[in-house]
Amino acid sequence: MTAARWISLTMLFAGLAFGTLSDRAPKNPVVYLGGYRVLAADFHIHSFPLSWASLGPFDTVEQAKREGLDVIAMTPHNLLWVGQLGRRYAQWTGAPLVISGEEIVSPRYHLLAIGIQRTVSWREPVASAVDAIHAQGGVAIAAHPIKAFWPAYDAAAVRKLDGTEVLHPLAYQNGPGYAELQEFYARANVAAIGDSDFHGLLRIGLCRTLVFVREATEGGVLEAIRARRTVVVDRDGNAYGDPRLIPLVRASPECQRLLDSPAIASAAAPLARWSRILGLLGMAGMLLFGFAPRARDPRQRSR
Amino acid sequence: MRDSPQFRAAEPPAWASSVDVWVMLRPRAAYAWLAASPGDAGKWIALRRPLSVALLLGCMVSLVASQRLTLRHVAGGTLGAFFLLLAQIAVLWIVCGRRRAMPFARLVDIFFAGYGPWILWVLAFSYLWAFLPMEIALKYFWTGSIAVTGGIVMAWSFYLDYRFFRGAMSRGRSGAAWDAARVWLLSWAVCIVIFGWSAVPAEVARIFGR
Repeated sequence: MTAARWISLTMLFAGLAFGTLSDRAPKNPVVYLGGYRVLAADFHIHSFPLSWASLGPFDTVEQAKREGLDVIAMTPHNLLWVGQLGRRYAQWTGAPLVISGEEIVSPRYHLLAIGIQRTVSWREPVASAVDAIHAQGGVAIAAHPIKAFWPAYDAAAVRKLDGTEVLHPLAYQNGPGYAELQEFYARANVAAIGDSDFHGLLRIGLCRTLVFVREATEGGVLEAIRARRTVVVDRDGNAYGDPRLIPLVRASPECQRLLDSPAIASAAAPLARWSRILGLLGMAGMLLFGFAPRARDPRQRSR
Repeated sequence: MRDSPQFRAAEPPAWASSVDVWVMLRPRAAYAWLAASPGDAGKWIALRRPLSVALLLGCMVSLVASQRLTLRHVAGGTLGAFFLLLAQIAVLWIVCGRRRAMPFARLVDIFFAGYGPWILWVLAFSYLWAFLPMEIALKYFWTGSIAVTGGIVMAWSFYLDYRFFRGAMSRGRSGAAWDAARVWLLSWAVCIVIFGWSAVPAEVARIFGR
């Protein structure tokens, strides 16, 4: 092995050591406001395998902890078991609260089914799918309802919804996506939800929901969504949700802490920064100087 | 003329810091030289490049998810990627069949020397997602950029695979194109099943308007 390859590998493993040392889960503040416990939540998270995600279910739970989330819903596409694995792991390790769910991916709409035990068929129209979710005690949230999905949401279906994603990574992209989510939310008059729709590339909790619960349990979270006791705030300070709770959130520094990801501050720390720099240099070196020793020259055979 | 023995004997140029870089930029000469080279012996060489590629993919998973390299992300990402690459090795075994002029382990090692464009792409996106604020990365380096650059990398990578079958497997033009296409079709089918199968029936129904 050449010296350059050794140096590349050393940098890569030094980056790995620095990053692992800097990878600590913070303790979330316990916040009470208006007589409710306030929880930071993200209800739209995907895990490997089968749902176009890169982090496995256990790793997803660990990362959610580091992003300062109290509650997450793991929502694989049209199935449940990946989320149920994550839920078991969270019960075993203690935090965060993981609610098992499903993103019903249909040709005409996407719908989050949170707190269910059996999958709901993607072949159902929205209204029937919502009924099936309610029959299991779960809540139904319209997932990124952009204009292309609106025809599936007739008036009867919209009336049955419990929530809609008004904040989603679409809000930070170019294009009309955010305006369409806002328009749908104004029409639906249901709980405001902010979700990251995490697949591995973005940050878990990039968009999040503050949920005002009577008790910090799965039942308490589902009840709060049904009662529309949620607040969502985007990066520009625009707030959506219960109009009685929004001023309380704005006036509370603790709530602002729940809205910010502690992982952003943690990623700016020197150890994490050196982990990135050394890791990327090591990766580049591995490509530049080869994964394997150079093959021998064919003419050596005749010598 | 270009595939003559004289051309095969071309030495690795001074600018090529590694075989992988040489394959990326001059695949015809590099594969011809690799095919003629005695190389390293032993079955383990079938795993060294796939393991290295899996490690780099694991590093990417960690950098984009947590903006640093952590043991849990890198280990999980490497494991997931390695299963995918093992499936690709199985696909290569199916496509190459018994028509091999060299041990299969050596063939796998040479095939994975053509992963350079993907690694370059992984490096570029790891850098962007690890260093840029999330909102900026989302605004400028999201689906559009991923699709365009991914398309370029796919075309480049397909050409390398075509040259692999020409140089290392001594296939004719149409045979090499057909073999490269089969490797791609089967590998992507496995990838789609592992990563995104659960929504595929609904996506198919959407495409066909059902």
